[in-house]
Amino acid sequence: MLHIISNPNAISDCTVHLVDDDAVILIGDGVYGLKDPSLGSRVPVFALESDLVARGILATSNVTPTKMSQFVALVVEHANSVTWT
Amino acid sequence: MRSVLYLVRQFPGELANETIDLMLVSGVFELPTSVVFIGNGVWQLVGDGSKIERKDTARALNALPMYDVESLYVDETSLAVRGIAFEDIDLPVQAISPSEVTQLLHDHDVVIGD
Repeated sequence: MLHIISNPNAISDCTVHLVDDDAVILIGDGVYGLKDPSLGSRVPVFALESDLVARGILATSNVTPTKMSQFVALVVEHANSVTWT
Repeated sequence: MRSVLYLVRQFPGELANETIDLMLVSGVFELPTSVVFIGNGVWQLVGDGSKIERKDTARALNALPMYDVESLYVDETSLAVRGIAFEDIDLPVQAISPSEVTQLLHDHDVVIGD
């Protein structure tokens, strides 16, 4: 399942429910939380590149900057998704 | 028919009431619908908003079983950390563990947050 996080305050609510084969993508203000330790390294973490750039945030090594087209591909790859706002 | 899970995390209030309207629509169209309350969403299950002149969220939730939305769950850990007793909840919800919440997320075709 793909976890879409658009609010950094929702990260800890989300990470409790991460299991193997899940993925996380930070979008909108969610990218402010890219250094949140609870994201860990269990699942891949992506961040929408345009939202990072818009906020002047440099991607750290734990996240993969992602274009909108790759975001769409992630949604299609996973059986379902949930948005944490 | 695609199954729908409503993931309720917001405090009671106007926004919460709009999500409840959406749940009722799911019920009317006979979609297999489940609702799980986690985090601050568990506050929707207690209290009486009409005391502060607002449409009461807990009362609105009582309409769900009448619309065939009967799979209602609450995260027991979210209740515990907020000091809410399960006995104080009037709605016919089932208390489940965080790992059972994770299972619900994976078992539904569509998950709608609030």
